[in-house]
Amino acid sequence: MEILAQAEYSQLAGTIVSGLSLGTIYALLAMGFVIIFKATQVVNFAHGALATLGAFITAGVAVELNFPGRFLDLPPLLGWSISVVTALVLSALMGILLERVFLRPMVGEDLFSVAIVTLGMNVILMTIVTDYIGPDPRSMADPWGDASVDLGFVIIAHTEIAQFLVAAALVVLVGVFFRSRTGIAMRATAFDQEAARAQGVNVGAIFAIAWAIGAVLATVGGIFGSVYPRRIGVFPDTAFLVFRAFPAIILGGLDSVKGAVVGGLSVGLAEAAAGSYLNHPLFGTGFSGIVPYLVMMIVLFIRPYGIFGTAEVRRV
Amino acid sequence: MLEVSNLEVVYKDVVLVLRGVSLEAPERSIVALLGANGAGKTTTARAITGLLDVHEGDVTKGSIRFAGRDITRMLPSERVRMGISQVMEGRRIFAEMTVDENLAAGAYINRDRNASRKSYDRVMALFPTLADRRTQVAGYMSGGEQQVLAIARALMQSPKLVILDEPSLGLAPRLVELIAEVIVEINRQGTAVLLIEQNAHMALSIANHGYVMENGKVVMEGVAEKLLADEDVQEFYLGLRAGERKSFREVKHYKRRKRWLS
Ligand SMILES: Nc1ncnc2c1ncn2[C@@H]1O[C@H](COP(=O)(O)OP(=O)(O)OP(=O)(O)O)[C@@H](O)[C@H]1O
Ligand SMILES: [Mg+2]
Repeated sequence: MEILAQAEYSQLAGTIVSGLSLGTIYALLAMGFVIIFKATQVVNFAHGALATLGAFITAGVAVELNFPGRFLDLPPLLGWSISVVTALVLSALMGILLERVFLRPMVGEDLFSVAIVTLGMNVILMTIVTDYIGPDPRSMADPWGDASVDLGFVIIAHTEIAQFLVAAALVVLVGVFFRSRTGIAMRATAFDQEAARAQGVNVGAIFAIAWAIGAVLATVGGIFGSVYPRRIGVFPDTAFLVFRAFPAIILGGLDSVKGAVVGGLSVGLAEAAAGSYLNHPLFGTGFSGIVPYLVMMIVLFIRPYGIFGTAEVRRV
Repeated sequence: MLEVSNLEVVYKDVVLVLRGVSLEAPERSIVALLGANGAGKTTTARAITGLLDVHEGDVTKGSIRFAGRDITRMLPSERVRMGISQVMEGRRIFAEMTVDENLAAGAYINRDRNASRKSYDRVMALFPTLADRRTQVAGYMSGGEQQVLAIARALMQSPKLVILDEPSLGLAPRLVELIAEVIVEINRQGTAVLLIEQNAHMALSIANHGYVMENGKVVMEGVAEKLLADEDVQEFYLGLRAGERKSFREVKHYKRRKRWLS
């Protein structure tokens, strides 16, 4: 009796850990997507490609370039952190470049046409990923490997601990950013571009910053989606992670950063719960993969704008 | 300080909306720009602040000079930095943000924290109603408070010239009076004002000089008191004579003919 209860407790704890671990990845991807959407009115269907390419860039910097390892003999965690920061800078530049080349010319076009452009962008980027980088997974060369800590009732991978800390830090950073001068200008731009320009805001610069932030968050999501216990490295199909994050985005409300975080975590938890509890043969093995979409649909029936979606406060 | 000469503006490459508008706003003046719906007042404001492109509009002729420089093709942000601020038609406050955040957005061009702080204190002293609502979400405030906020936001830029586009629109008479007092006070503190209005009475009673636009042209201009006393202006804009609204030019034409007949 006692043992059974303990086993249940431990299963629950395990489910929560893997749910949060999945959920923080969704949250990071969803946050970047929402920031790009809010600030620039672009529904970015290439977000998965950004995550994949970002993770590939990280592998490239950490392994192929072996930066900074080729110059300096640093402790593994420090060295790898420098590789990642370098990769994040490159990802940010990639985001800025993509916006400039593909999306700036589309300013003023309707949402749908712009979304189609991002689909095209996705195809181009994914072709680059598969053609030039090949179908083999590339290791993130992270310092944690498959090490984990056993807390007795639950086992947590080192990568997961790192992921929780990094994700929490990024959420806080994004929150602080939106209270800064540039962040307020970005929110103003999101709400009313013309009125923001009337305040002297350079809307083009705001677009660039939004894409840089979106690409960085996507890359971090891509990196954590490509390490233990999820994968052994980045595959081209890392892009699908974003398709699984879409329910989180819609669930939270397409235009809410807070919603992206809450949506990401809830979808991750629901998916993990379905994976560990709904193991009746009736549900089949792939059922947990459908759960995010089911949760999304149920929420949308009740709240069509998502949990935190804009309830318009415009007053005429 | 502001000189608009012979300005022509075309929307979408085909719709000619301004047909040679010229006007001036000297330093420390209040200049009224009057005209019926569709006369081209807002278009004139957009041309001055550089916000035509969003509406696919373009200056095809003429020039705009400010503080001795030609600003006709300058970026909107540079014009704000030079000291031109605009309170847009319909207030256009950032409804989802708080009062303080709206003001912070207004101070965007001000990188210097001390200078921002100074404009903030000045604005709060000018508008005590806002001081009580600093953390309120702007979208939930009343129309009058929103208009005050829109003006306060523009003042955060410490402008040399502020363009107000129909600030009295949709406000109760008492609030229109309040807005008029605010404008006079802003002007007294040294800012020139270009006041676009359909409420000609309010505008002319506080302005030094006035322009009347119709169909993309200035059809009349003069000292504010003179315009206020002018029969045509009275008839058409001040509603002092009952009857169907005719075009300003028709009124004039009709009067001329009458004179000619008698
Ligand atoms: N984006 C646009 N494209 C085409 N025509 C436009 C555009 N914006 C305004 N117009 C036209 O230009 C003319 C002048 O418009 P404008 O908004 O400048 O007038 P207004 O004097 O400000 O009028 P109101 O008092 O109604 O605000 C109108 O006939 C309007 O239909
Ligand atoms: Mg107008």
